[in-house]
Amino acid sequence: MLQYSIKRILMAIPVVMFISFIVFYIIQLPPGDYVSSYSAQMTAAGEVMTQADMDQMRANLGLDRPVYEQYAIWIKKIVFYGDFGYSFNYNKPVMDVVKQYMGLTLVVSLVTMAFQYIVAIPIGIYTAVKQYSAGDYFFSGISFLGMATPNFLLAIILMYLSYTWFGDPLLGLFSSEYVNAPWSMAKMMDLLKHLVIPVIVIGLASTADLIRVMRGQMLDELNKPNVITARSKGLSETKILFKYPTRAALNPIVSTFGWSLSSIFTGSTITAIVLNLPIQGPVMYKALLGQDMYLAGSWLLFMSLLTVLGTLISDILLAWLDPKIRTEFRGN
Amino acid sequence: MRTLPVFRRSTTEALKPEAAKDINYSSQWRLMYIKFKRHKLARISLYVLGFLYFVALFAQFIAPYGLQSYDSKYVNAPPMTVRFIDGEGKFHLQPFVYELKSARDPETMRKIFVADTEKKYSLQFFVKGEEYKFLGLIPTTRHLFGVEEPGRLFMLGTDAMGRDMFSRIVLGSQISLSIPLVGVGISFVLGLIIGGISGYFGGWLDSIIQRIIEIIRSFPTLPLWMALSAAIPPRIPIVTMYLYIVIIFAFIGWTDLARVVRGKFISLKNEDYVIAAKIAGVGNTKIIVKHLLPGFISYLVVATTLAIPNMILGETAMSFLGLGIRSPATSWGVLLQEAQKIENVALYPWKLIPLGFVILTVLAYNFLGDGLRDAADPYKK
Amino acid sequence: MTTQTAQAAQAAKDERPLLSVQDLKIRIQMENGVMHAVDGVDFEIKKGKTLGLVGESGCGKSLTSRAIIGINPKECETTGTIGYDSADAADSELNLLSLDPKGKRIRSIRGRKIAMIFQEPMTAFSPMYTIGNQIMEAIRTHRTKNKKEAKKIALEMLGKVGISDQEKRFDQYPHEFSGGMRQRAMISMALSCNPELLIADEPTTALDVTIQAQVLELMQSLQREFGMAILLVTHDLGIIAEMCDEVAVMYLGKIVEQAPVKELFYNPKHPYTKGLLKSMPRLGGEKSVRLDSIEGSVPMPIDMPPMCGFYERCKDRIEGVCNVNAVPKTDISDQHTVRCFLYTDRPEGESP
Repeated sequence: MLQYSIKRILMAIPVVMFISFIVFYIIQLPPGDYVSSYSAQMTAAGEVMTQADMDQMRANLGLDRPVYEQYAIWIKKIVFYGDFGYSFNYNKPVMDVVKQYMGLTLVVSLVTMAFQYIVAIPIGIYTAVKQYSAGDYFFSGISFLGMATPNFLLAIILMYLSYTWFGDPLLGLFSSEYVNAPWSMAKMMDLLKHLVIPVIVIGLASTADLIRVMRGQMLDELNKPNVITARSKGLSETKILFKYPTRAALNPIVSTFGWSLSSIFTGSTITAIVLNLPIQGPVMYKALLGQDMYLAGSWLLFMSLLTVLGTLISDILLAWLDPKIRTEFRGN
Repeated sequence: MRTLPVFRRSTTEALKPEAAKDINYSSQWRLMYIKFKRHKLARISLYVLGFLYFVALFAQFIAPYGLQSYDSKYVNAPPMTVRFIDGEGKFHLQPFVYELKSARDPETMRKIFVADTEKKYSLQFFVKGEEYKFLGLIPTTRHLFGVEEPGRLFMLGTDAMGRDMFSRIVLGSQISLSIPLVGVGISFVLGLIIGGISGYFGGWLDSIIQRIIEIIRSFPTLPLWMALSAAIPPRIPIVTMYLYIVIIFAFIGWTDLARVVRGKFISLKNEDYVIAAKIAGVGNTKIIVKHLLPGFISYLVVATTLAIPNMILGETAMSFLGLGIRSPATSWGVLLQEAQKIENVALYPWKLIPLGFVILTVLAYNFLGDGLRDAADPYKK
Repeated sequence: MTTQTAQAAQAAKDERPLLSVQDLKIRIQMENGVMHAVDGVDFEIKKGKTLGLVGESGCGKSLTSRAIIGINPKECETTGTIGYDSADAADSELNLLSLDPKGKRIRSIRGRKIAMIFQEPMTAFSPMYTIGNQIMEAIRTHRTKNKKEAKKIALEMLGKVGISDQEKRFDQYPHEFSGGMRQRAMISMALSCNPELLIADEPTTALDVTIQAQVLELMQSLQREFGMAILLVTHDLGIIAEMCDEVAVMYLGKIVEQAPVKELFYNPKHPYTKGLLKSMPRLGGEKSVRLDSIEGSVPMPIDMPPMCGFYERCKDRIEGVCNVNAVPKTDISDQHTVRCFLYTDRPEGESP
């Protein structure tokens, strides 16, 4: 088992290196660079930058060197000093920007993740056991709608409803009076209140997906001969349901834990922009548009790393959960 | 008992019921068709999609106005009601609309529109309007329906520039409905070829392709879309922009299909009938085309259909953020940009109407894919 | 009550069959009509004896056997009576069909009084749990709550079915067992609560021939040891010949012929039975002779008119009789019955 995990981790390293290079390349793709967009801003503000000014600025930022050199410097700093570069937009090191937003990003993501499993698994079991019942049709309808609605628009609709019903669109993660307030019970409650819409919106599509996967798995498992065997032994229906089909159906679900976190991380981007959440999505979006290359690049790299890591965790979890694979390792 | 003759495993295999109904003798495609027809939702979805694509094909003819025609008198006008009965309760065989006149809300003092029952315009077929090329070939000015000038017909209201929403939705459907198709088409071909090579030949080629797929898949889809879209230069011709976006979508989409194809190739190439063909000296191409492809092409069609909804949602999201299709071209995502502000949704809820079309299309593709999957499943009766 | 009458009563009770199925019908609503999967089946199983239920796949034999302990899916609409007469006073003279299939009462019979083994031991065990876990489950449900005791019984049972190194095997998963071993484990699980009736649904179909013989032998020796009755469901007449006291031949939801095993093999009456016997290879038979086969295939029993289900394939059919009337049951002898117009004195058929 340990050997397998180590092997998988070693295999992920070249992938990550390759990704980092592609990320850097993609960041370079947009025409112009930070300096040109900065000068455009200055021009708009009424100040004109000369070519010499711009060249000077480029040299200062290291933007005048060839791409591969810039990449090498960037990676070298990351690996040896943990320095991810400098954010031009925020005027501080990338790591500081990341730290500033990481906490709340994690909170939103983890709560969403918990929400989706807690909601999806019981509904999946219920709809499979009561296949073709009114409840099954109801939840199937909801989950189809959930998958078909672009979640950022759902965010707007929910905001509108919350505005008409409660007189507050619940924008952001805190009410204005709490944004800079120290942590307290009241601030906590305020955060929870503001989390409702983002969590539903970000989680809905994947929850809908999970419900369908769980339902399908359960239907498969409910028809397996081992359920009939269990019944012929005289076990109660409840015990059979949870010990056999549910346990087996959970396997592929649990193995989604890994990539689920990274997909929430990235999937929340647009919703966060619409809902004006102080998490990574909008930061990333602005960085991409503003050619804030080190910040955008670092984010992309984080996301990719998270995806690689997520897949890794999923694979290991799956191997660990499946007796067939597990016993193979025991045999060795 | 031992005196009885010793029986071995009997030949009851020969007695197995072969066929109870004709259905068991039909060809694969015929069988799929029969099973698909039974899936009601999928059938309805097929009709819905057929209708939507038909409208998109003749969009310029069906839309009463052009993409850019606007009337600054009618900014944010609500949808008009098409009526048969006038204010005096008289019935008209020909439907009509009342002209909108602006007024002020007595309470909020906001500008609103009310129907002017004095001015009535009948709905007419084949009215003259903006010139366009029918199917991109025949220049004409006739539109399927509309009202005579100076009347205006805003069936789904107007946007912040006074442009007819209905016309823009119909015209926008051309891009919104074709991008996923073209994108999936490209991914399909790429996936089939690359996945096929990987699965059929195996070895070092397979390893390399698998690593590449792994790397592409390790990119988080949405940020990658955003990053690539941000790289599209501004102010380029619509066609080029369209191509860029399709390629971005296909670039990420093909890996899924390639994995499916590879898996199928690997499992099928060791089947007895394929090995038999190899031993008989049949060439690689012939084996692939004759023996392998028919074994899973139906499965691929299903996987492809189910990949379309994600592309639609992706295009909508990108265009919504201003990273996809950009003005002057229009897609449903572009139309929804105005719904980004909550005030707009509150005051002019008809701006959410394009959302209905997105949902309808995505649902229809999902159900269609479900129906096809059930039909393609040989174990499902 | 005198001891004599009590003894007589006891003797009369011993004579009574352990299981008597009467007019069992199972209907399934299909898209294109009602399928009469099992259509008026009667049979009895005496204590300690073996009844073979033989027929082609799809004839309803598995549904019949599962109906006894009520484990068919809920789409199966089942009517008739299934009388069960346990040696236990608490469970004597029960109609199993009248019990709630999800209720406590039938569950206390499943696994404890009537146990079952299945065709595919790979899928009949859950791949998620160890063999030991799954065997212990039955013991802990019916015999003892104590985990240690249950494990002791389970290990003992594994030994009885010829599995060596039980301690190690106990903690292994089904995929670590070979097919024959899995079926042995399945038998040990079924017998772990010492049942009065064992229903074996194609117990050896998935096994290869040598293993098949071993498993059958094991079942016979365990039957002698535990004294249980067996209902053996199979499509293999060879197994019937080796294992059974009585045979019931099923075709299209009906028992077409029923007799003691020797009688059936030496004096078959129904054309279908005859066909089945002819289609079997025989040791020492002439090599060059082609085996007979039964022409045609089994029709779907959906909305069938009253007629003999075997009519289309029958060589001895009587037109105007076999295809218009419902076939009545005819007694050939005390223990031998057949459903065929060739032997009846009622060609007008059975009133439906």
